Amino acid sequence: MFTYATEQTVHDLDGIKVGGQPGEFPTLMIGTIFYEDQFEEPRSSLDEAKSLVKEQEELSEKTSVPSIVDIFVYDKEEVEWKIDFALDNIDGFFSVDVPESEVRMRVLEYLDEQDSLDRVIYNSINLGMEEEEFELLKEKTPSGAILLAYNPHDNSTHGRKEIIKEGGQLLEDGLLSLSEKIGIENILLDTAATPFGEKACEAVRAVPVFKNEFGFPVGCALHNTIESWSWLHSYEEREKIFEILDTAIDNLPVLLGADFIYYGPIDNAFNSILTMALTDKLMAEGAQDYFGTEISEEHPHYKLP
Amino acid sequence: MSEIYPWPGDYRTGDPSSPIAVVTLGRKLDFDADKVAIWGPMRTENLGIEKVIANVISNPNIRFLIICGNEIRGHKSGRSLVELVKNGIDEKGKIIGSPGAVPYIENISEEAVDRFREQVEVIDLIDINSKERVEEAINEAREKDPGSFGEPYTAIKIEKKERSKFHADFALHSSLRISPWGQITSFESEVE
Repeated sequence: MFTYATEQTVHDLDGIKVGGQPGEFPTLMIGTIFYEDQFEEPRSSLDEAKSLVKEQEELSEKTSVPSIVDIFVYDKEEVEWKIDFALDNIDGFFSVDVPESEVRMRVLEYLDEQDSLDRVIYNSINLGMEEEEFELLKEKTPSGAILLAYNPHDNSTHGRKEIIKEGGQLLEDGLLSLSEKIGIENILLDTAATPFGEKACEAVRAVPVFKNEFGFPVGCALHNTIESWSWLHSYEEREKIFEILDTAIDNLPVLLGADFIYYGPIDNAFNSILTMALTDKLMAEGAQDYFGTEISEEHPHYKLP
Repeated sequence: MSEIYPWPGDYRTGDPSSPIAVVTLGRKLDFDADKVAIWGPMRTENLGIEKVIANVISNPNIRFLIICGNEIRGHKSGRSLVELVKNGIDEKGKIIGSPGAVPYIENISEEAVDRFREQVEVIDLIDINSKERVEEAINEAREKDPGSFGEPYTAIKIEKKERSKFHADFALHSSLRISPWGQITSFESEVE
């Protein structure tokens, strides 16, 4: 559909390429595991968790749509066993998704103890980062990080961009500058999904704006918009249609050039990855035909003729 | 959205003359509509709390806010609501003392926040999921009803409009120019 005049950075996450011009590389799919309520007893469900990880891997092999796993961590007490699960069952990069600053710091310490900071996407550096966390990040620096553009002061595209660029009147410095000071090598920009009624569409509109302005890989986690959809909570067949809605919404930002998508939970890998293969194939063909974009070798364009 | 409660959300309503509102955090609980004015879950420590504030102050009969159900892990939205009533917000809109991830109140005025803090007393039953225990608290609070706080306060959502002056040649967003060949470049626009 589009090409960007701004140079587009491509990261190499242990062989997975993310970023670049639309159509150049397939979308990096990031499936989240260990959400609350995903398993009744998470620590007793590790075999089930392993099979979900395996299924995502196999789907990536079949389609050439790359994927990594996002490990969700709520509390300090969960840090060790969840990171151990990732280290034991995942080759290469994984993402660690942690809402609370204190817990994120414990994650950094444990990853450092395990000598594994070089294979982690830290999810996320955001407005809630405290000075102590910033200082720790400088000492124990993960290879990659999601920079979350959530701006409660102004959730327009402009406001989201300002959080990344200048701190949006809430931080003294923009998240991008802070991440560069920390020394993050693989910077990924998340346009920050918001609920309907809170400028939900701006998370999509911000994709081309961020690509144009910053040139770093851009993505989002629009399943969060669906999860907060009031109507859906009262819909009797919620579980049945959630996966369909997640699959549908994940494809929209890719049409504007999004490079990675957090989908989820990981149980939805089959729908999400296969559908993304279709979208990636369409985008690549269009980019090649119209702009002469060179499609990467590992791509559904070739793998799924 | 109802006539009394202006902000849409995942809530149910009962007798508007009741002095009770119940936030059930991560739980879905149902209550006697004759005893409770409004109830429902609340997941986030920012937008979720804003909705609660707006819908509580629009009904001055609500004088008690019961917070129950499992705390939302990561967000700590229940504890953030308790801290909001206790401490208020700082100059940047951050809830003072909140343990939540991004506890900012930005879409509602400070005046509305102050009114909320004055209007309601919090009954902290965070992590209590027993409906019987919550109903007991509802009955106790109803006995202590101090009466209406006064006039309803309609909280207007603070809208930050992104308006730009542009000439032509744009799509998707005013900062982007898309050439006839589909190449995206910057569009220098004057933002109001």
